[in-house]
Amino acid sequence: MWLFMLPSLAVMTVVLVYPLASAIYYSFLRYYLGGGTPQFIGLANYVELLGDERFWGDLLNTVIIVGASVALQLVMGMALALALYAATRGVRLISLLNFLPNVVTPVVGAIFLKWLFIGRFGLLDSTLISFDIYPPNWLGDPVWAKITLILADTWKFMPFLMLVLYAGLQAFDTQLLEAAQIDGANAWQRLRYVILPMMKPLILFVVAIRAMDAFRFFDLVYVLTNGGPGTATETVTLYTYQIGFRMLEVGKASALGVITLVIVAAMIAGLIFMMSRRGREAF
Amino acid sequence: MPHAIGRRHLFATATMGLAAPAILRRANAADVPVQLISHRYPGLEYYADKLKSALPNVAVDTRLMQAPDAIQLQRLALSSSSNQLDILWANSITLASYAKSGWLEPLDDLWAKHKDEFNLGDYNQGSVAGCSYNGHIYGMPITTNTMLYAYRGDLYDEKGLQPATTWDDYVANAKTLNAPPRRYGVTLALKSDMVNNELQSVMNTVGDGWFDKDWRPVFNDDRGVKAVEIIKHLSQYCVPGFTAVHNDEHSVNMSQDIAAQGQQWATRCATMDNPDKSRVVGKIKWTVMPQGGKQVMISDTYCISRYTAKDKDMLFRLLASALREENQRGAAALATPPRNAVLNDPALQAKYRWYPAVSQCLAVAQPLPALPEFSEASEIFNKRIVQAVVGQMETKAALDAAATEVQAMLKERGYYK
Repeated sequence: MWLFMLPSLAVMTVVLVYPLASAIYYSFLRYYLGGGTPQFIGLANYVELLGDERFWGDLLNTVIIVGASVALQLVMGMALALALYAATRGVRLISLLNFLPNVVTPVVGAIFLKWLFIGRFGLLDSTLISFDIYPPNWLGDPVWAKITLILADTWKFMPFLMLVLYAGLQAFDTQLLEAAQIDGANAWQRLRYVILPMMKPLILFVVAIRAMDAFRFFDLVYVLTNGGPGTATETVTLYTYQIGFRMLEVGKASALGVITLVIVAAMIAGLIFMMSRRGREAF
Repeated sequence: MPHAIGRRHLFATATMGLAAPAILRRANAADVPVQLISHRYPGLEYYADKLKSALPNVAVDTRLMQAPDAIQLQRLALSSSSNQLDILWANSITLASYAKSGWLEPLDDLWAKHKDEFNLGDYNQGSVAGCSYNGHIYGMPITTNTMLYAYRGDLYDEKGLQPATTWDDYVANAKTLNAPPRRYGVTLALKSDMVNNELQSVMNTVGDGWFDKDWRPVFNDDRGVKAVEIIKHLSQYCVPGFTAVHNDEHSVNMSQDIAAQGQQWATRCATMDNPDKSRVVGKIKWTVMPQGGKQVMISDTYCISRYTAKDKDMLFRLLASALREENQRGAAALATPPRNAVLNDPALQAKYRWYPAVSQCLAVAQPLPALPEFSEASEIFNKRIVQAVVGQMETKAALDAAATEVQAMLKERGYYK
């Protein structure tokens, strides 16, 4: 048994355990990549980061962007999944077309979106101006830049939620819906009192997966705004990147990576707890 | 049934297994092409191509990307003492940083050895100085780039405007020509490292520069605040989204008739007169930035990694061959040549109409501070400047915060003892 597990354990050690242990080790060092000998400084990196106004601002940005985009993706994904569930024709074609943004490489998708949103000569601005509509400053205004990122993330990842929820609906016992219909429930009541309660475990599952993924939000924000204007769209992962790869402070960047890991782990633990509780209710 | 694997098989396999690393290493040393990581713009693309055919039987793999990405990859390779990077593009700032860290091969001896063979005495001294650190040559000059005041001559004539000699005039011209959404008065590029390039002129002419002689920030004094306020005022007439704009988008704004004026790198001038890429061929003029210029000047250079496993003499000859006079003539439209024989050629000066302006601008340009940690410092104050320009913070508060953060960083790196 152990022999069978050895290859995967070896791979896990190389790609997961070793980097994680290294990151934790480095987080206790003052380690400047540009020169000098690393020095052990205990928890100083953590103390410095937790007292850093920029870190808290970035955490708030991350929560706003992740919260809004995952909520929007859930609502739109559910609506589209229900529409597909009710549709009788063209379901495969529509779901395929909807899923296309999700299969595009994130950086390629981000570059495409940049040429869509870029000021004045972007596709969106040019189109709106041709209809005499004065477009907002998509990437240059602190508020609009956040909204643009939320829309961009939704475009990219909503299809994933749609597909999973649609698969969940496919496994749904139609007799329950028929019974509700016979009892006089209208479409909204069937959704509110039959479909959504039955789908709760699956909804929590996809939200957990997406939230975990979205918290590591990097590609889109790096290409579209690079955290700007100023730090208006800077996320925790982008700040980690700035500290590690621009400021070359490996110790501090590692500490921020560990803090992010703890936050995401706590968030996921909370969601798993909710899932298991809801799961018991559901079954 | 005979055994599928006998002792002989085991012995042969073990022998091959033990010998494999040596065989593979030998194959690697001979076959692996020279590795280059470089920034990307037309001039550098041209020279990267020339490197591939510079020496017979020497293959070169070129990886070209935007400057921040190239610098990041270079730092990763060099800081880990990797021998997978042989030659690299650097600018004056990164060269100082890399040289201070001991990551670059000093080229003084190779320069002296091959001086006659490649006519290295023909390089202008300013360009060679831009490739030096602490009195040693670390790079071979590719070009010395500077920013020019680019403006639409036709629109200026139409409105009876003159090229601005003061920053107030510069803002006033932008305001006069601002006609959104059809065309904007000015284009700014305030993404990432472009912030300090865009602000170098105003910070040196209106402000007191970035640092004093002891590397203490002065960009947050009253004059520095006034300088940033000018850019904030100017941004009202700017093409939207300027905080997400880098060089490529900036060039598009000028070449596609979206902006009436702006600062432009010398390496981007040729695109303005290229009918395949520009809607304003012949309409753009260039001059020195207001109040005496003092705009940014950066030398681009090729360096040799200290950790390369390749023969360093061969790498030097590779670079020198790619940058020989004949090739620099071919790149004259794309990059200001560092060889005197090319730069001062009257035929070329007549052919490329921006050359006289480039010469004027180079005469008054100022390099960015020779602080090896300038990239890291600018990473801090560039963010704060943008926060001030877009109104996220009061200008004085933003610059004071930047100064405090920069001082803390530099103190940690051993300054102010």
